[in-house]
Amino acid sequence: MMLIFLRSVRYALQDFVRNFWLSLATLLVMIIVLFLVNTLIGLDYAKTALLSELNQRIDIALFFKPNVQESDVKRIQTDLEQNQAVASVVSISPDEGMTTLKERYPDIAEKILPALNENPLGYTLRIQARNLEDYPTILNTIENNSEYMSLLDAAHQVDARALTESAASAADKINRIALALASLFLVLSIIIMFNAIRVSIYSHRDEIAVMKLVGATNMYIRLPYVLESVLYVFCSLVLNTFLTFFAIKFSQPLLDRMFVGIANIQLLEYFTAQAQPILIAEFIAMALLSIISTSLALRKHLKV
Amino acid sequence: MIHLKNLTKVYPPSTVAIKDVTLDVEPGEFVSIVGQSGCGKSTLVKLLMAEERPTEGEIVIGGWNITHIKKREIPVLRKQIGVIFQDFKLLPKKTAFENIRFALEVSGHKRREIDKVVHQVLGLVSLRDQAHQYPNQLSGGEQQRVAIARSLVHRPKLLMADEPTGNLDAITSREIIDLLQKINDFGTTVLLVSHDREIVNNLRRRVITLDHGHVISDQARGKYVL
Repeated sequence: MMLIFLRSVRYALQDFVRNFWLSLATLLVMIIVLFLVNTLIGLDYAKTALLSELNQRIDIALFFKPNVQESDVKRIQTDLEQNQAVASVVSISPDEGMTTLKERYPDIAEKILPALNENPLGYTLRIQARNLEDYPTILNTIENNSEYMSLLDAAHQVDARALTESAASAADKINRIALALASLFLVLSIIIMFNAIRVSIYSHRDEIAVMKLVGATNMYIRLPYVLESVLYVFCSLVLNTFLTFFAIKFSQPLLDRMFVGIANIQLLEYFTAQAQPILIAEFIAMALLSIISTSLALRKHLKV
Repeated sequence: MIHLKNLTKVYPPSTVAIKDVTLDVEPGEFVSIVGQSGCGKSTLVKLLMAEERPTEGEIVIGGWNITHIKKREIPVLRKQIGVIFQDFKLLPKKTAFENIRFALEVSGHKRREIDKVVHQVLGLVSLRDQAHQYPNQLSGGEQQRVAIARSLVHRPKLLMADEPTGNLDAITSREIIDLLQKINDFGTTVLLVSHDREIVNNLRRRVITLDHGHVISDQARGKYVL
């Protein structure tokens, strides 16, 4: 068995080198497929980064009536923190609220506040959801709780609902588009790759027939082609890593300009950090796909 | 060596390639099978190599009834029969040496043993100097000699030659036939399929003539009768 394997490795390497142009054509197709996959991964990262940034900029603010006690606010805060959809709940005291008001609107504070004897603000809870899509759920939970609603100044809820719902809807649409694109890319990649291997095997059909006629078993014929297809995957993965690196180097300044002040999208950092899992997953997926494609393509020509 | 009994091959829907052929070939014989194109010569070779299955009848080669041979047994059969073809059927991306070596490697022989046998058969067909050339660097006659060398590596008891001179000029054809006779002199049974009248007549060996799938003549020292 070891002898067959070693000989198959030799045949695979020989065929890879001696059919240079065919090998090059197959490699180029595989590189394109891998580049498509990496583009997809990059887009997914950019989408996640953008949605995360948007998520951080949106929150639900619960404004409590001025007479609500701190203990009640703390209890509600603890309740909300138990909710799976909630990422964080920050409590703002009336004094902190007043300080912020003075900082943000100094003119108003100067004119109105001296007329008031006491701080008119109550406690505020700022709630951040784990995902944009979770905001409507959190709002429903709050609005359906009569105890919470009796303690709240309800005037702000309408704005919060409109904003969070449109953000959630936008996130949902972006996710759907991303999923559709990913599916399309994956299907295209599989078809392109399968076809490249089928063409490669087809061009070897006469040789396969000769091997059968001199007494080679199906396994003895199949193994070198399978190994060669895995070799294609390995080489295309290495070459594509360089291609992706240069593509990121080229596109990073464009992304910086495009998303300035909106989101911080660092593709190179992301790909460097995720290099190991991405490369391993791509190698396994592509190798499996190429082994299956090779075996299917060979089946037809082995009937001699 | 070969025993065919009422052998019939019909290609669907109703093309009769071989019809009710019964014949025996003894060990060490040199037999020519002749006939016009489409008479069933190549089908007969395909049946003997288990490339095709008979519709009816029986095929026995070297005592082995291969009429209903299992798929996994076909490689074993093909290692025991040497076959050469009109179009040589060499692997284009392997050198002459590698083409011959491949036939031994599929049988799991060790490298040292393989190298020794390949050198021997290359010497037999006078191609030692061309051992590391690719098929497209060799002449037609040289390519056919590589194919013959490849067919001999397993020391087969039976060598089938399907139109081996079809792509060669008269002088080279003569050389190839001489080589086949030399191999026959060593005791290997040779089955020559040909439609070359001159070659068959010069051999003065047994000639079986096929016409429309039937055996119409079988002469011990025959001539091309069509």
